[in-house]
Amino acid sequence: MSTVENLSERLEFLQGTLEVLILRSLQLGPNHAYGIAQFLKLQSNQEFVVDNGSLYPALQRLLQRGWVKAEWKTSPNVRRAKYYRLTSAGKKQLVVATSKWQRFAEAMGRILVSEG
Amino acid sequence: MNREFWSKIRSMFAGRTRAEEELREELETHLQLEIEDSVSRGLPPDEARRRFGNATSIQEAAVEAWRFPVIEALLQDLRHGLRLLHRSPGFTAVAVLSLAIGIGANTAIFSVTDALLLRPLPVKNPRELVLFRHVEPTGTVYNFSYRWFKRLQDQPGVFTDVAASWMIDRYNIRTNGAAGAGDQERVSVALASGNYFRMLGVLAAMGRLLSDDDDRSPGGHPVAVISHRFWEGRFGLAPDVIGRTIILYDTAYTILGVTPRGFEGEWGRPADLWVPYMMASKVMPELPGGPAQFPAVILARLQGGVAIRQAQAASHAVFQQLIREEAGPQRFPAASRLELESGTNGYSERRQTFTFPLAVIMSVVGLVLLVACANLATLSLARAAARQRELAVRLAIGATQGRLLRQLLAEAALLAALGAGVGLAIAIWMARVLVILLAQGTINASRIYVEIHPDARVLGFTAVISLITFFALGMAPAFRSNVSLAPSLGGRGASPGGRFALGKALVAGQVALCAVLLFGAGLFLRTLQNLRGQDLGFATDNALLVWTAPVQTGRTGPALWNLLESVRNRLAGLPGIKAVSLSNGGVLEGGEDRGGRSEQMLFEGYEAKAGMTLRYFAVGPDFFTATGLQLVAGRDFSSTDSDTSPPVAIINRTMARFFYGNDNPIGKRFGGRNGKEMEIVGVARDAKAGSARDSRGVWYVPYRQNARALRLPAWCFIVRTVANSDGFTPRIREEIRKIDDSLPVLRINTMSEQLADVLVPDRLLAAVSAIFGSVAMLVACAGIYGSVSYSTTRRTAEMGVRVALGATQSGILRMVVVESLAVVSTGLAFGLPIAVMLARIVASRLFGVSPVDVPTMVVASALILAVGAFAALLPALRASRVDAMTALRCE
Repeated sequence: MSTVENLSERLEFLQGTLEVLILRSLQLGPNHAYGIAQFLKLQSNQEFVVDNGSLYPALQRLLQRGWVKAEWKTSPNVRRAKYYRLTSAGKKQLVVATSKWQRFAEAMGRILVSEG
Repeated sequence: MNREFWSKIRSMFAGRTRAEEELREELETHLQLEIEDSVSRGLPPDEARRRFGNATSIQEAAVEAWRFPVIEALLQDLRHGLRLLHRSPGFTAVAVLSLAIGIGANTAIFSVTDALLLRPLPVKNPRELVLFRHVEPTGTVYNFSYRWFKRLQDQPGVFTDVAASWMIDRYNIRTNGAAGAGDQERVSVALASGNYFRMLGVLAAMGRLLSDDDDRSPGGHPVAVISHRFWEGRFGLAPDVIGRTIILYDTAYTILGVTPRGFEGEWGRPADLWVPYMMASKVMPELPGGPAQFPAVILARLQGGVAIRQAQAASHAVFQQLIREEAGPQRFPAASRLELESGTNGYSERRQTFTFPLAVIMSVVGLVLLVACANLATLSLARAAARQRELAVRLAIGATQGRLLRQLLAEAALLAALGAGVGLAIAIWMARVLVILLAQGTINASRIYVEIHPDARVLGFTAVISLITFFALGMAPAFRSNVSLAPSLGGRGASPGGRFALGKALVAGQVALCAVLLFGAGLFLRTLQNLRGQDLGFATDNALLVWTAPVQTGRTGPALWNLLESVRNRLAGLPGIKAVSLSNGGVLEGGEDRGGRSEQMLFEGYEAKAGMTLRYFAVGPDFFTATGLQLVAGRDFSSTDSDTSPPVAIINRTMARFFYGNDNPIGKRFGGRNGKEMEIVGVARDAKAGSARDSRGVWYVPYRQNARALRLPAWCFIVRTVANSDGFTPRIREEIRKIDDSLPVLRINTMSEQLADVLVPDRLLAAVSAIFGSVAMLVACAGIYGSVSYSTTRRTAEMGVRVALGATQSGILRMVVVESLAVVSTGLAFGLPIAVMLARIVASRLFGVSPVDVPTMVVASALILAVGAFAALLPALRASRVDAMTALRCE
């Protein structure tokens, strides 16, 4: 019945929530760290205000796993910024994680809303 | 997550600094964007900064993601450990040095022992090889006749193959067929059966090796195989060496091939070339009879999986039959057995002599390492205790006990690693020195050639003892690091009794080990002194021993006698020479070992009597005048005693007393095993023969009356000068060269030099135990110093109280010194009985001292006590100068 298979995966799952969110935010296109944080803040209606001390390490982990790729671009106002974008592996991972989270959210919803 | 792992590894090598700079730039940009955003919304920039967070800690967090936490922690511990060691250079120096000496010495001795005793032959499956030996009541012998070998080869039984070899030194070998004087450099020639190389599984490095076809008809195969070392030394690695010739006694041997580097035969010393057994009569013209009579050492290969004991049992019947058929009553009494022995390490004549000293030396050196470890454990304990506070503080601010433990272990690991590193360097140097010492063998027997290469076993050994020291070092303080917070932070630290006890026990242990070492050193030194100073029976001054190898000239029989006689006469005629004689051994060694057992001798008119081993020397006229060995009755040999005159003999006093009691032996007859009867014409004082130690029955015969002696490889001319014998050497060489320039003069030395040679094992023992005893003493001294230092520092408050209550400076000094001496004495009390026990084990090596020698005990104890008092003096002085006020305030 559980949406995750074993203990270590459970831990990674919890740690990976931010990573999933980052992946989602990059689905629409490459973005830099500030842009990602802004996206998450706006989309979650100010619920998720990401702390930079968590954001940057998460970005590094995503780089290590090869789910995102980074490159320097000159941003619109002529300042160099590091842009992250999804790799094909990252896209696949996003699909998998999204479905897992949906199942999780549904289950949570059912329990919390149910009678008794 | 493999991908992560490899990314991290890759990042370790890729540019870290560049990545960090990029990150900084990225954060900078991000911050700017935040600020712009804030400003555009009418908020102050500081607000944005605050929201952004601390750039440094963000950077840290990001960088963390790339680290391996475990490795980082380890590196940190190591760095911390290095810093600590750097801060106490005294301790570090002592620790590293004593470890280095301990580890280095052990490694050096082990590598020599390994090369000498343990290393298997570089052949195929050396563990399958066995040596043959026959055990008789008089001893164990490895020599057989070639005929025995042939019979064993014909009936292999459990052996897949049986081969034979024999090694002999030859001179006058010429290479390249050059005309001219024979080259007097010594060459070791090995006779080998046709299947020798095949059985050993040795392949040629160049050309081909001997085969069965090279060993069929006597004298018909003038071929040879040379060793790699010989090829290098004599031919300079010339590529055209195959087909060149080597000339010995006018026979030219064609070189067939070269053995691989590292293969030097199975004898303890390297063979330069191998020649088929069928050429034996040409190689050793001094031996009568055909190859069937020639000596051989027999080596065989067992079938795979068969143990030696099995093979022995299976071959029992065959062996018994062989003994019955081949042995006559003279050679092998019925009580002899034919046995097998492991041939993995080959056969070495000298190995037996050195096995015991090397074992003793290994133990000595092992003890020194123990002392070093105990010492360091003491010092580590002291340091750890002194850092009680620091550790407690760190525990309080959040370090785990595991982390602290890891740090202490890291320190110990660093010390062990440093010690091992320096130790290896010491080991290499020491091994070289030992090899040189061992190579100074005695003239008759082989020199020990040891080649040390750093091999896996030695390095493995070093690693193992380094690990052991590491644990010994690390465990002590780590064990004690279970610190409880409150008492450490607040006051004096944990129970003083407990800690003191361990420290004191370690010091006592070191002292005990030192006692053992020093006692042993004392015994060996006195043994050496006694050996040197003993009355050898003959006059050692004004005499030279001139060693020659007459058989190398190719002469045999009467021609050989004439050569010896002409040399003797010529030398005797020189000015300043009092007398010249000769002997088939020197005066200190050689001589036919197989003089037999007393019950084999028949004494006219007297009962056969068992209980004494005999030895005989074949000597020339004026022997007793030349050696200074006194005759207590009868006369010396003269030139009238020749092969045509009645057989005579001179016996020594031990023999006379044993067989004849108080009767006068002059004129009586006795017979040896070959049935020949001799008349006793003189009785000589006892001299030491064989080694400086033994005294047994010895008889002397004129060399002309002893055909067997002619076969011996070396003869010694004893030249007694009227006055000092310096300066005669060149003249002697010249005169001998004039008589026959193919007669090699092996060596000319004085009798005391000869004695020094014979005593090499004893000198080695004494030197090593003395050196290491002193080293152990020094290490223990440092240990006592450290331990007393630590304990007085901890007791500073107590000292303050004492002073305040009226104790004097000298009073405190005395107290500390006496306390430390008490610990030292405890160590002595334990150490001396152990020392005596161990001394009993080595009692056979001692001479003139008993294992319970009291003077040595007293001297060793006094030395240790003195050193202990000295080591405690400085800290005691410091303690006595403590100012009461400072002391009481400092805690």
